[in-house]
Amino acid sequence: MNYCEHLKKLLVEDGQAAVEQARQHDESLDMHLQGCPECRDLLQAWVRIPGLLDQLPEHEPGAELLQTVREAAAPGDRPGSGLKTALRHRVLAPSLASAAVLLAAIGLSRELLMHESPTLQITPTRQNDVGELLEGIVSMPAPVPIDGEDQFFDYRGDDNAFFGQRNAGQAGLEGQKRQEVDRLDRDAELKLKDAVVSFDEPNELASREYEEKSRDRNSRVAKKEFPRTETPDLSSFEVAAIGGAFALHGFDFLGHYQQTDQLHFQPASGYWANTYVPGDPEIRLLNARLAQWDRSWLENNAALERGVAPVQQPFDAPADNALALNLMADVSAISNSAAPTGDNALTRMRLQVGIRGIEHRRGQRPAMNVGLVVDLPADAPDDVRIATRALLDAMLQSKQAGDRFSLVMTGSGLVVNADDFRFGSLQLAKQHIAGQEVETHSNKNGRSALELNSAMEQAGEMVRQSDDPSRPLGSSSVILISANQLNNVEQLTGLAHEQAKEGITLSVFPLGSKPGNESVEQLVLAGLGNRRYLEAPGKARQLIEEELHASSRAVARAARLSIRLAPGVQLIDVVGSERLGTKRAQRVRDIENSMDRRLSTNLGIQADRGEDEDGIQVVIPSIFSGDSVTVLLDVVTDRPGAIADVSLRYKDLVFLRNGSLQGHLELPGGQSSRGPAELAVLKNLLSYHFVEAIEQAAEALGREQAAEAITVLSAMRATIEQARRDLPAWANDPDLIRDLQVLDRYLAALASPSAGAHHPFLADSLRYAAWAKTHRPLAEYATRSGSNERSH
Amino acid sequence: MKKQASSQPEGGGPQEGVLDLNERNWLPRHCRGDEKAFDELLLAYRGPVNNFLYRYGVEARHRDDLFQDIFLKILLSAPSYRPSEPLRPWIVSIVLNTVRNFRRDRGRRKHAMTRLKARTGSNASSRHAPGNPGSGTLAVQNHGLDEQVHQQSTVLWLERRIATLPERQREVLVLSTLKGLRMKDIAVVMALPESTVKTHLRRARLALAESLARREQVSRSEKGHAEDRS
Repeated sequence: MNYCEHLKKLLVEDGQAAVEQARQHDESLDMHLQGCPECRDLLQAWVRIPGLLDQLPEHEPGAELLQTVREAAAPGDRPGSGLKTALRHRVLAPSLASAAVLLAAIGLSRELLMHESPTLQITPTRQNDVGELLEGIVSMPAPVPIDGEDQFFDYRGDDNAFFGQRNAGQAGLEGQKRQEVDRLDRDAELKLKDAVVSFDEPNELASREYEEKSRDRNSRVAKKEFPRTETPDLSSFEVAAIGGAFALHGFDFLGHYQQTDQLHFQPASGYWANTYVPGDPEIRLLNARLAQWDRSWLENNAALERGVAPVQQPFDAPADNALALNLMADVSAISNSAAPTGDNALTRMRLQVGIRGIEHRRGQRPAMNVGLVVDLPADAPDDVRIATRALLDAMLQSKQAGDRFSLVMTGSGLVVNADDFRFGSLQLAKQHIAGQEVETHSNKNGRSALELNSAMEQAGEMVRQSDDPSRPLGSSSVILISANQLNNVEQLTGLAHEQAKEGITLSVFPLGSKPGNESVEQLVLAGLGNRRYLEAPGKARQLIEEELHASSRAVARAARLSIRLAPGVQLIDVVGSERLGTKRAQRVRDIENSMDRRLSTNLGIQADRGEDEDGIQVVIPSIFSGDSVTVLLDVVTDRPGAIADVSLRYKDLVFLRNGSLQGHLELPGGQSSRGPAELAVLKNLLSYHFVEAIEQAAEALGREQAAEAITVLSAMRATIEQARRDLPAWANDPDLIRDLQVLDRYLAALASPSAGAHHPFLADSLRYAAWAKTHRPLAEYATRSGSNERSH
Repeated sequence: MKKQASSQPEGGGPQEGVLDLNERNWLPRHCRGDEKAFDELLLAYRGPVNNFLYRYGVEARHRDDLFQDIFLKILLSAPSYRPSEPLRPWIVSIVLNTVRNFRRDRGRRKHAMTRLKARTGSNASSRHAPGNPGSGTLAVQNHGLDEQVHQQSTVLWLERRIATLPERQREVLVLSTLKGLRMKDIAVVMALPESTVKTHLRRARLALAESLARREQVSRSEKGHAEDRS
């Protein structure tokens, strides 16, 4: 056998994998490949080829060539331009010949070509000359009436959210009598926390909801309606007996969620709050702060937050739709047994609705029209100046043809219109920050000191002057780089909201700010923009790239999820959501209808909204590439069979159509057994409690309430332990074991005598751990920032 | 029994080629008179189109003409573009057809010229020898250079070597080097089954690997001779 030829045949038939497989089964071939230098070289070269192909040089055409093509494409209203030039150009000769044949074929009069005809007149028109010429001559169908990209509600996020994981109904720390009060208390606080932590790249809807929640929460706090959980004295804990003595306040996770007595049901209809808000929480800033944490006092310098096992969702991204819908439950069958009353026994279960966005390539970004506002104090420290320069440098590096950057600096009052200094506004800002006096057309007549409000207004006006409404939302924006404490937030918020209504978004890059800066959050909420923290000057480019590319990542808009429970199925709660009142529901409808109309006008996706549907309705304004949204419903049923019908209608921005997905869940009667799918749903619920507990512990540490933090974490630990005991399938579950280890480490760290000085870092670490539980690792995200990769 | 969620997208349209939404609106916007739209398209595709022409082996003197020709065809065909289809394969189809037509026309002219010269007794030998005359000398020139330079020269050699592959293999390989074009897209553009495209691609890779292995052997032996001499 000629093994050299055989090798080539294998490579052609099935690549290198086939060769490796053949080597395992054919010793003669393996020996030949070891002994034959030609084959060895060939295999090595085969492996090298893809890498070399990746390194092939990029060839850019010359500027003159591009100009020629541009002139040919331009409307023919200038002498020597447009189609006239193109017609004279020799490269159009074949096209003209084809056109002539075409004309002859369709039987048009020869006169049409020989004499000037209105259809052949080259005049500046709404359409381009070439398109109109062909359309006029051969009656080609008119272009599809699809307008520019509608991105009105684009918060240009790159984050994922875990919808439905912030409200457990109760945490189990208190008895049944406290359930309702606790639920409301935690609702109020955690919803607020949601808004604060997650509303990083919000939309108008989120903004309104946030404002409403804030008001609601403030009023409750003012009335002191909801006392906090009582905290035992820290000295009462036996720190050495972690896992034993701490198992004081765990609750029976499985028992609680199987309980069917004394339940309160809710109508399974109406509008429910969407808590999926994409955004980039301050995780990078947390990461940077944690990098500076001296962990030498911890055992083995443990990176506590790194041990968390991220939740894995069992549904894949779609390939042929913008969204995929997945319907699961945490039981596989409904009990047929009879209750003591003679009725059918109730079965309590969790119904999980999963939505996953398509993995969508980022692609080209539109040309940006940016008004940059730099707001530095006169005595800005060096690190702030360095950070600002890094951001400006990054903007310069990211600048592409067609981008327009105008600049306004507060304090000095330097104003540079994009047209005045088209290629140098950023250099100018850099010089100014470095203390070099500069003069431009805009400011040479003298300038006066500018307040931030005026600077923002001026920047917005400059952007507005050259704004093109047909461009995607986000391509016109104001970016505020600020190292000052934001005053007059209300006024600024009003301004940002007005600009956002005109399609000019506001993003803020706070410098030297702490996480959770509410002023910044309010501002970006109102401005439909992003908040981005610069953790180190070296990360400026990444941050700017994300900001400039953010407008092209939404894969679906106006996603309307309707969940209709079958007869006999009753709703206990939509975990992590809340029923919307009349006013808020109307706002949701208004925004949905507004998006519907805009997408119809601009993208040609037929308007189909305006009517309410049956069942539980949740409207998610935008879903971004690769994101997943999980909705958990706590329900009971008294009979096997149909459980729920789910429909998801959305505006598919990838395939430009109205998308519609349906799901139906039926369960047979019999003994329920939990397979991987059922366990995954249950684990989602447990993960929700885990995240909730460590966020609560972080918040307690922020208030220097270490004892409370220990209580919460130890209770969670006991809860997981008991769940492992109750569910044999979880006894050796690696994720739960990792979660337990994480909790143990935090508990040990908190019990250490040195912990007192490290509470802020421990709080950050806990916040990071909460984030890591529902996201892919930050490193993975950072390396793939081109697309939205995080999933729940 | 539990049923999985079913997917029922409305409307037709292709299910493949998920690319950027902005791209799909460039041509419709251009048709509506947006002067910036075509510029955006040009900026985005100038590189891929030019790369294709280079790697395909189009001679330098024809490259600019073909570049213009391609973009003018895109202009002429703009009204027929439907945004429900991905833009990249649509443009690549135009690029491929334009280059194929150009090759075919040149082939005819060349054939006619050869016959004419044969009749008139002129010597029809080409000034350009087939294959890649530079590859052997490159190895010599690169002898003794550091690894980085050697790698760069190998890449440049590879680019020239691609141009000598059989037409189908070359087309498939060059298309596969264009970013954002998937195997399925290439199959659609070339109107071939995906498996056939993969086979062409592996054949092309094998041909390149064989050449590269030979090149490395020559390089090694020359290096050995040089060391012997020194």
